Amino acid sequence: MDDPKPTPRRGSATPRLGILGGGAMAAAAGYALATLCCLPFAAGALGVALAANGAFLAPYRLYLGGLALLLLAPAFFRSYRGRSSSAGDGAPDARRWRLWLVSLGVAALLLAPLWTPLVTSAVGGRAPSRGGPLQNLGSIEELKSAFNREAGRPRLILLLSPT
Amino acid sequence: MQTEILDRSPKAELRVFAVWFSVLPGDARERWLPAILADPRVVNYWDASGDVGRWFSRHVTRRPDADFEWDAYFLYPREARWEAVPAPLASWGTTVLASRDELGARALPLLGAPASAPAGPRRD
Repeated sequence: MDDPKPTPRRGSATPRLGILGGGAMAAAAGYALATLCCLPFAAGALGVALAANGAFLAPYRLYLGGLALLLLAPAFFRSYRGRSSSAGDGAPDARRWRLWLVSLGVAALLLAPLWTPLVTSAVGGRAPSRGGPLQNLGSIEELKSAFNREAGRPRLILLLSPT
Repeated sequence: MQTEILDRSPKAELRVFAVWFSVLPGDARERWLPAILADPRVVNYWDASGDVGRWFSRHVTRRPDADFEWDAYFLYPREARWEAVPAPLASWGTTVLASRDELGARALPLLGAPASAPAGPRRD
């Protein structure tokens, strides 16, 4: 009589939860890095390296955010609706706990533009500021006038967003 | 920008106009950090309408794939005047961080430092 016990399959057609969750976290981290490239959230060489990578990823940030969510969807499907997991995914309850923890991490990274300014404000607020205040710009004519008032000096116009 | 140019040329007569506006989720006027460009030569503006980014896209860079310019720099020499558009343009680039080496190479000669790169508009 044949042994009915199934043997763990290698190279399952659907990726393991760890791969899906890890991929989602990596994509979300890329999104956060790309979105926060202008913020001084790290100092020195580390800050420059992070910011340079963030600038490189900036054009792809929406794709990275979407990819993170797309990777979570099959992970949830597998965990709640799919067939029993492949070897290494663990017991269902533990698997689901891990998946929810990963999802919280992904959500935190995707929402980083909302909470990191609070952190950097707390840090940056303590730094001495020699710069002037933030003036409301009423129109492009106002910038034009300011630009022409400084004729005789090199001038640099920067177009930036706070995060 | 702060470390590449302002800190390296503390006495240079450079004037920086930093125009801040909302682009990303979470952007807001109250999230602006004075410490990012902390130098008395910098004038920080908040553009609530975002018109400046659109204006530079329409009149200066004229990139068909960009509705507005953002995270960009525009460098002008001493003789520049803004009539219809600010001109002559010495250099521009985006992102500011990715272009920082180019910006430094173009800006330092304008500030009186030895020239290391030819002046001229950069369109990329």
